[in-house]
Amino acid sequence: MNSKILKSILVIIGLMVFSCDEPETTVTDFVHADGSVTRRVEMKNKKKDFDPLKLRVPVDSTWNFKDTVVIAVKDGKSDTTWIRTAEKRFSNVEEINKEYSSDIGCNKASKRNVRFSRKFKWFNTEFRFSENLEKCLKYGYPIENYLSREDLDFFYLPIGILGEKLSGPDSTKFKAVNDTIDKKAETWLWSSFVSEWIEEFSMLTDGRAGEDISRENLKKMEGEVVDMIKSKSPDSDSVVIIRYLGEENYKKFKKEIDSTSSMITKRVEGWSSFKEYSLRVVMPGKVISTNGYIDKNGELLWPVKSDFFLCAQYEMWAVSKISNKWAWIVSGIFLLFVLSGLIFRIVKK
Amino acid sequence: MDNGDKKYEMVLNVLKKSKPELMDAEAFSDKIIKLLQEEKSKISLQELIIEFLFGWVYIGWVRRSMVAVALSVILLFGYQQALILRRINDLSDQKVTNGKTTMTSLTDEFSDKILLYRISGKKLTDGKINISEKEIDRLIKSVNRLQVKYQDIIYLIENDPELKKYIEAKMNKSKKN
Repeated sequence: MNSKILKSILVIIGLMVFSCDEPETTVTDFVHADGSVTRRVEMKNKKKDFDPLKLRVPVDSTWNFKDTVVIAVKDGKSDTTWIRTAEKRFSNVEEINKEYSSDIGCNKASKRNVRFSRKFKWFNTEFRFSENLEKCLKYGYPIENYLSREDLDFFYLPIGILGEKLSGPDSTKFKAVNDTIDKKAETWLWSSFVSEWIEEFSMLTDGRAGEDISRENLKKMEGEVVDMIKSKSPDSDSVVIIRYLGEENYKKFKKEIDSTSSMITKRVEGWSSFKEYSLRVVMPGKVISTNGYIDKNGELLWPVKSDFFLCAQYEMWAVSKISNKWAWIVSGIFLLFVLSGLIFRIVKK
Repeated sequence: MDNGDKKYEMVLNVLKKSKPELMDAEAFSDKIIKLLQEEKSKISLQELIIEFLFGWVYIGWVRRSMVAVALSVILLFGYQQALILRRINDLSDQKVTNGKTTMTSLTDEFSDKILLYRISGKKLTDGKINISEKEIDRLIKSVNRLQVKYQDIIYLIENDPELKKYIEAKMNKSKKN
């Protein structure tokens, strides 16, 4: 496997770590029964300026802004946090999707969209709201193949809760769990990247590759390559590929190898530069179903992290209902009417 | 007497043979019909309404259709409610009762509460909190009531430093949870 991709990713991750000046963001969507959405974006920053290119969700001059400053004093030192709250009412979800498509912020490379639907079911009207992130890799593996159910619950924890668990009373236990999950997730990550590389390379070579580097054979060697990458082999990228494909094949298909590597690096670049944030949704009526978390206030919450949409679409959805009182009244009157008629008939007999 | 009897019998025979003549039969039948209609119009308004509303029960197919529709409505209602209840029960497993759910690096607990309050959309605009005097009175009364009720315990805790320390540690622990 090409460790050029690995190096690119490590550089990008390094840049992320050392340039973490994008504001922490919480997005709250207040969904209304008519399909309109009031979106509130709360951003916290250690600096006064909020660069539009570094925002995690699209926010522009058409929004209403409110700025506050919070100064916390701990151990005699003051810690200043600037909070910017932006709010805008969208008449329908298509307007939000338009903003996403014209996003200039740090998450612009990720494809996001919002959906809303309403179903009239006589006694109740059901509303479904979802925000989706399209998957990055076409041929990656689902994370469910690598993590158990309990691991997945931990993996998908909201950001604030995860932080609390790792710094709370049982932090040792949770840190151990977190480390185990990190190791399994690393295997998943590299397996997905290698799988992507194999599939794209096989498509580019289009059957011209020999039997020894056919798609099926490369797939059989996948585990070996992942172990090689994970062991952080000091070998250069060409040595890794030669060991994987063979020197003759390496020379023969150098162009395809480089094209595949470039394609995947480009695909992964947008994903790896994704900055996480939290999404909250307030639905009309009573929530009856969701794949998110429900906090103390009864509000729905999802963490939005890049890992969640690497190999599968990440859908954050919620369904709520509002009772149609007039339908209840009409049905009640109708049932009473039929019952009265039957009683009348029995009495007349 | 025999003559009398004979005459009586003759009269009877004559009467038996002579039929009454119906003069103007049409007028007679019209009169009967009119009388019947008058009789009908004497039915009360209440009976009329009942007949109008429940006349359908006498028509077989209408009665059966109405019953079928009523049963369908009941079944639909039952099915929908059962489905909703099941989904709400599944939802209760996802409840997060503890912990912060926002990404906050604020160290001030009170600030966190304000932040959560704002994010939940329950914040009142412009930083104002409107509490009525009645609510303040109620709050003060309940605080006073609690202080009187637990006066002895509070006195014991205040005067025993070890006990006070123990109670504070327990309260901090439960606060963290």
